[in-house]
Amino acid sequence: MIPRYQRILFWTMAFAILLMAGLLARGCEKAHARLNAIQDDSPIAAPIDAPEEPTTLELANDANGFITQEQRLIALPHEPSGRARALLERLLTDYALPGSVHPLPAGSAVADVFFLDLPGTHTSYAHPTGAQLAVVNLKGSFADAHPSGIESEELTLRSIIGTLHTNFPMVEQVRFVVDGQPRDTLNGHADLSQPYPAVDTVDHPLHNLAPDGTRQ
Amino acid sequence: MTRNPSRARLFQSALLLGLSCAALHAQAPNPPRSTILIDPAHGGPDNGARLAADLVEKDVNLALAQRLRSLLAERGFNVVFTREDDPPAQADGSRPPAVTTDQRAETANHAHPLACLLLHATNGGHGVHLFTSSLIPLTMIDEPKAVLNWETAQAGSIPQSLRLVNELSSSFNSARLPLVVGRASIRPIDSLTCPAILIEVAPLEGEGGAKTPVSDATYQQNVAEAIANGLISWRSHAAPAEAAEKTVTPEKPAKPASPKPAPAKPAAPAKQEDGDKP
Repeated sequence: MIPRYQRILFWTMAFAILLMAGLLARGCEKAHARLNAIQDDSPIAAPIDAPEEPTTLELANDANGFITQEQRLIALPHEPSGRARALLERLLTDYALPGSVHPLPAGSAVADVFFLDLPGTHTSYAHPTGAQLAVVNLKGSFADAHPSGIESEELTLRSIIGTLHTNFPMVEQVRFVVDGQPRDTLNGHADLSQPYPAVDTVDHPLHNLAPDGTRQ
Repeated sequence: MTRNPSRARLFQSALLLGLSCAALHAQAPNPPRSTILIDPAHGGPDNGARLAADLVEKDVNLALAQRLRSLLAERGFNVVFTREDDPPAQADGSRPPAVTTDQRAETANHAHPLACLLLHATNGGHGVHLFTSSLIPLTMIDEPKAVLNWETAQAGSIPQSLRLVNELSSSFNSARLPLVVGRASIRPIDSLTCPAILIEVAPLEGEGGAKTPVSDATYQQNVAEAIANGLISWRSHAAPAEAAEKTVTPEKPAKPASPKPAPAKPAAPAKQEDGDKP
């Protein structure tokens, strides 16, 4: 016959073991989450006083060379330039996350986005402000660290142009500059010397516009 | 009246020389239709992508091009390179200027090749990437132009370029090399008048995530053999469609002088020709 005090001691110790195991498992989970957070180099987004809204991003995949559309809930400012910049920053920082299918360097990528009226275009019901040219000013640190290659550079441009086309219907052309200056290529391959037509890049390859703005 | 014998001999010599030149000109062979142009991209001060700490893209492109040249020469192709080597840095550390993309296009257009292959290498993606120009192809209703625009000269060759991609795709599939096919206008492809494709070699991912780098000699040899086999198929299946000689040359905007139509016979100051003529 086991004495009562020994039974109490046994169950107390068994409970303590279970409690310790639970605490250990919880600690492991926290450590894992902390390590994942260290790998995520995404810049902390500036606080935006706006509700999250469904937004369409056109995302690239290096494995098959495809662009696919995905919906995300993103809080975006109302002012168009800031809205476009925040949208592209979100798009490009997603590519810096671990496990990305189109890996890009971490860090801020877009300095500014400007919208300019295209000469000779008229306002309409669909485009109340007239057709516009979006000038995307990329940061030199982003362009220099971008993976150098035809597929990778073309997919990045297609992803940016497609996302702008989907979210800013008045944009008809997109031009890229780096640190405010014209540049021949993104990082040795994709041509940045001429503007691109803003098209749905899910189905369309990219091609520069001629200097007179016509499709070559 | 007496004739001057020395003047007569001079006249006879001049006549003979003229006839000889005419005969030589008439016997000059037509441009061989099995010429392949290879453009190892980048070079000189332009290193291209940095693939490893001590390896840059321009060197991998050149190594792959040289492997391909050997295989094509064995198969009876003439090979023309746009750049033969990478000139070393000078004593002051500067490098001689690279062959420009316009110069590469000029070499290609003068050679009238059966196919133009523009070789690149990258660390991004997986397998081999094939690209044709993203220009809008000329349609049957478009009037043929006497002079092509330098920036869009490839538009008339897009259908042939797409057929060439199909031939190479079959060859890569037979070699079990993963493939991504797309459209991209990377200079100088849009200025070429030959069927042209960009070939970008990326690392090969094996089972278990093991990566074979683009510098791997066996991988490069497999890629080169797949390209060579595809070109043999292209020569036998699609070359008849190419038989018509092109008598136009693209207009290069940098030259203000009025463009001249290309001569029917190539002047072709090619940088390198190799292999046996078929």
